[in-house]
Amino acid sequence: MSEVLLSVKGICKRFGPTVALKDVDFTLRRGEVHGLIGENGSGKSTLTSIIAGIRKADSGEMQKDGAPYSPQSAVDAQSQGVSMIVQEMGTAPDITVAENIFLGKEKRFTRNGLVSKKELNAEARKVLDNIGAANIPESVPTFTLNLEERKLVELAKAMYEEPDVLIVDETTTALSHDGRELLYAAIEKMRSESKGVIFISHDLEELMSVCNIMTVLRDGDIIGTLTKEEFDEATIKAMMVGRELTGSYYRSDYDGKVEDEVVLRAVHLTGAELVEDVNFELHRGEILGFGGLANGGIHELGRLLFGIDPAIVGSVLLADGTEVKDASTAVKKRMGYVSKNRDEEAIMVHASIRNNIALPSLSKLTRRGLVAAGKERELAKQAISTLEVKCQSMEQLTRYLSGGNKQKVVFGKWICNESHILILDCPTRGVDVGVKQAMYRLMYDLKCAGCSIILISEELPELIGMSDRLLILKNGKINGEFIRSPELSERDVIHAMI
Amino acid sequence: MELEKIKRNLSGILPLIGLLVVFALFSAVGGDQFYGARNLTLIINQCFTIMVVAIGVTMVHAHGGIDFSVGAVLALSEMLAAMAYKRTGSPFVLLFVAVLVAVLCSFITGIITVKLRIPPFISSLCMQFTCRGIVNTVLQSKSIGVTELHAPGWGVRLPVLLLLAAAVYVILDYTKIGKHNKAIGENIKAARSSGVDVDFYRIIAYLISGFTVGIAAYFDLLRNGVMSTNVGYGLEMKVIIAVVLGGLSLSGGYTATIKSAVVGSLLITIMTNGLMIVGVPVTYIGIIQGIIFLLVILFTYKRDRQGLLPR
Amino acid sequence: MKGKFIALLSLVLILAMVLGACSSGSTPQSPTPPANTPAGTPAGTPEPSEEPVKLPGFKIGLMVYTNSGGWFDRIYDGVKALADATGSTLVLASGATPDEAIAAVENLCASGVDGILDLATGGVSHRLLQICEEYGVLFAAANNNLLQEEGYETFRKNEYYVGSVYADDKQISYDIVSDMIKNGAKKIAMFGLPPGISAAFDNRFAGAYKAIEDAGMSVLTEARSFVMPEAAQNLLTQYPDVDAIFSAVDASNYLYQPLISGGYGGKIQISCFDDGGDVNVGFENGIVSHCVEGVNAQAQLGYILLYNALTGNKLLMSDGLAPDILIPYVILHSANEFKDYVDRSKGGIYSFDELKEFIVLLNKDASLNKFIELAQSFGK
Repeated sequence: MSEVLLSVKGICKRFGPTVALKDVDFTLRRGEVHGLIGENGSGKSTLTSIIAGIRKADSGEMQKDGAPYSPQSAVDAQSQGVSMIVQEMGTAPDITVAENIFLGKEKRFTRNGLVSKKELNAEARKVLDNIGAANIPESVPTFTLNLEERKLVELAKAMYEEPDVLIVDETTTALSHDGRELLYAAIEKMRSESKGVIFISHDLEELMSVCNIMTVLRDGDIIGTLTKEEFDEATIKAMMVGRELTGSYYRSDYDGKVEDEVVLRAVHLTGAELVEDVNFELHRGEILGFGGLANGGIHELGRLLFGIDPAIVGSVLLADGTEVKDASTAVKKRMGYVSKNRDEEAIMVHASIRNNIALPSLSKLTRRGLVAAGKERELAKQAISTLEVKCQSMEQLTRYLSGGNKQKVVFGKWICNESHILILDCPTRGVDVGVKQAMYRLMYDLKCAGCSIILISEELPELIGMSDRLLILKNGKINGEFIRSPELSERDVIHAMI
Repeated sequence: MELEKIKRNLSGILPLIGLLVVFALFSAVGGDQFYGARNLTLIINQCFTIMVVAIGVTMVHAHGGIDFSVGAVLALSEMLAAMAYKRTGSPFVLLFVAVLVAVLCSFITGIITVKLRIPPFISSLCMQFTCRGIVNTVLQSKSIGVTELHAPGWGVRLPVLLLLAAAVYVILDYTKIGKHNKAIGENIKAARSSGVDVDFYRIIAYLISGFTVGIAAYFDLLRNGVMSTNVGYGLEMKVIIAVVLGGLSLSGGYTATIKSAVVGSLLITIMTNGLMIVGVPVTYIGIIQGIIFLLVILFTYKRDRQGLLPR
Repeated sequence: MKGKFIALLSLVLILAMVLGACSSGSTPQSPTPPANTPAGTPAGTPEPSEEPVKLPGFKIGLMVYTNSGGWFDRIYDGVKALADATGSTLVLASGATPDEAIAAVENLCASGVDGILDLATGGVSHRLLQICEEYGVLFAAANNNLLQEEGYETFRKNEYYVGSVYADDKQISYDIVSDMIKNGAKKIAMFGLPPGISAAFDNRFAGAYKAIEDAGMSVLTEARSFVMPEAAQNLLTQYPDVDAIFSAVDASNYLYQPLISGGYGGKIQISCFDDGGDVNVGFENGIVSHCVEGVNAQAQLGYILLYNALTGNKLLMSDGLAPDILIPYVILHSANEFKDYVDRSKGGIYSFDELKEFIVLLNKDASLNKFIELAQSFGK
């Protein structure tokens, strides 16, 4: 057993009435890539933010390398060798990459009161090259970079201090294949240098391949720790959820047969960016999956289909001949859309659950010009109970809900509108295993009830597991069609993507 | 959770309580000079213009917009209405023209903001300059008198106020127009992707706002008896101060209510009126108003909103 | 939530303290109907009395469009001196637009004043008189040409109208610009607010334009905007050879510094009205050539008219109507003249002794004609 790098004992933390961590003990040894997994609200982010100095525990103690460790701030923790890459955006958009990397540490580049930009940039270049990000320029404003590149800047910033402990929180969701490789390389470097990594992710497969030890949390308690030999998907899932996940995760059938009736047709659909001459038909009761690389155009296609972005060439036609040119037409024709960027585009975060759910259905609830408040409440109540949204009341603001419950609210508003065509863009992103399964079940129930679903996702297993038919977009054009079958594998599909 | 509910309701009534407190204090000190019927009618007449415009402009604020043109539009409406009256001799024409002009101006402001995608701050300022320019060019420092017309007293104004407040309250809280505007104010992208026609509903908000400005113009013109070029200067700032004082968040959303307009307008009118009746020396009025404003904002401002200013 | 309650509580406490303090200071007056029957100029009267007459005091509202600055101080000084000498108190109010003027008069009346001396009528005197009539408050005006206002022929007959004292903005501006041209100005610019703010400003510019027109010249440029600092900047950068600026307002904050540092001292002529307090700097640096003063005189004379009416001794003209007296402005041409004027204005440009012969209670032979003569000889 290698020596203990970080030891945490008896940590408790509450946020008002909510208990986030209950008397948690945790140990990180040198050479470990220690995975941390649990549902939303299980306490993993809270635990790591305490370790990284971002928050203070209510009680408990920590030790690093055998000496007491109680960081006063994130910067303090960093100076003691504990760095964290956070879940949200950790860079300031308006300053340059180099400035972000050395934010707070400009003193080392200051001569006579002025910061030497040349030195700053040169050092930043070294740091970026060090983690393998040679193609990220160091002197441009950070907002010009895409999400993945910004995350890599955060990685560079964290690695610069040559930390003993690196904490990675849900970072891989923002990264593409190449980005992930860089991250894994950095993690591997930490491991080979006998340092420690704490790795949080929702992606169980990824965790199982990257980590050599894993701890499962549930409701603020440590449930158990498994070494690499003990890794088993079913066991871990059960530990996370607290019960056996019965039934299959995705769909139990392999029947990809759909009705003949066409409910939506895309004809020579071309958008302003990334989507070119897409043609397909969506049938009643079909789950039509769309996959591809992040810049393959799948997300833009979703927006075009729903009318949020205008088509430059071609059109989106419904069964009754209506052309979908804007979102309000789409909604009137009972289409629904769940955006990838939930908090920015799909939900009104400072508004109540009721207001969110009722919004698309207001026309239905209006009698003689007035919206019937009683009916509105009924509608919301129904949605909340059907989807089992965990909340205090329908008047609660959605910002206080967990990610999964927010997603349920978004689903709820379309179900209430009796949508018969749903366009879902990464609907299970950032959602726990337990809720994910419930959503897949819901999708299947909707399909059986005659709803047609377009499922856009970057998770291949999800697409393969749920779609009746799967179309792959490459560089904006359709580059492959796959029919549901038990033999369909990721390898087959990836070919069409790259 | 009961505590949550109580807190939320209390937070909503706080501005009203503030108003009652201020009123009670002035009554205690000023005696029936302040709370007597005669002074109360003065207060109604004095707060009328600001309150009517504030009520209408709340619709625009609900979707996160702002309108700096209301004073100038008021002036232009009054001028054209006065001219029309002089030509036809009919007070009905006066009312009609006042409302028509105001609605048209607001409509244009709305179109420029929504269709040309110009920030409302800028488009309403442009409208302000244009309207002022027209008024100054046409009037050339002269004025138009309508002194023969009898100015409606509080007996007419109070019902009009109540009616307008009730109407906009219903629109804002119980119709698609209000709810859609509030949704737009919350998150325009989410509203759009929920199927709200964001352009159409924002323009409707401007139309409603224009209507109230027209009504205010009619009553203002009659009260002054004269249309001169300096009518309405500073009205837009007074209205914004009034609604902010009443607790409105200028970024809009579901927290927008009529209450802010009503309470805020009453507060500033009562303060000017009350401070003079009680006899506070003018040199101190400024400081006292400043302190009062600060305190009032502290307890009306809803801090978990995204911010006071439009995005 | 806690913070909000604390704020609410503090609001209550502060308001209570302030209002409590104020009310103990002033006694709320019950509106007293004026003991007036508009009387004619008293002809020879009986009983020469030897004992000093005790002057009854009144509560008088003073309305000016601003309550700060040197110009305002001089006005206030003068009126206050008279008020003290006559045992009266002053209540200040301000209001520029028509609705503000109406609200101010309403509030003054509601707070129980006996009379109002208004230097900012907003052009709606007819309405103000109606309000005064309703409350039984007497109304006098100064610094406003009421003859140009709507409804003048009607409201001048109102028994609560006491009269007005005003100067001719158009004429004085004409004279100033003509003077500037006589002194050699060739490139004259206009400076101030855009048209339509007040009749006074518009009259001033009208006079200035006419002078330039009559001299066969044309205006160099118009720097008139709400953003006066910017207008000033633009003026100086685009027309560096400007040699005269007709300003209808007090331009000291915006023009003087750039001019002084630009070395214009002694090479430019500038006018100033309604000084905010820095015009002597302009004079000392050779920037200002004409400073217009005299509103404080108008205010004092207006006060006399008002006070007489309050004691039941309105000064009326031979046709029984209230007088509207035209009084000249003074133009000050140098720092010394300005300083001299400011000094003389302390405690009122007219002393109480100079004016007491026009107070009917002190002098039964007080004559309106002589009063008008006094006014017209102002500054000479």
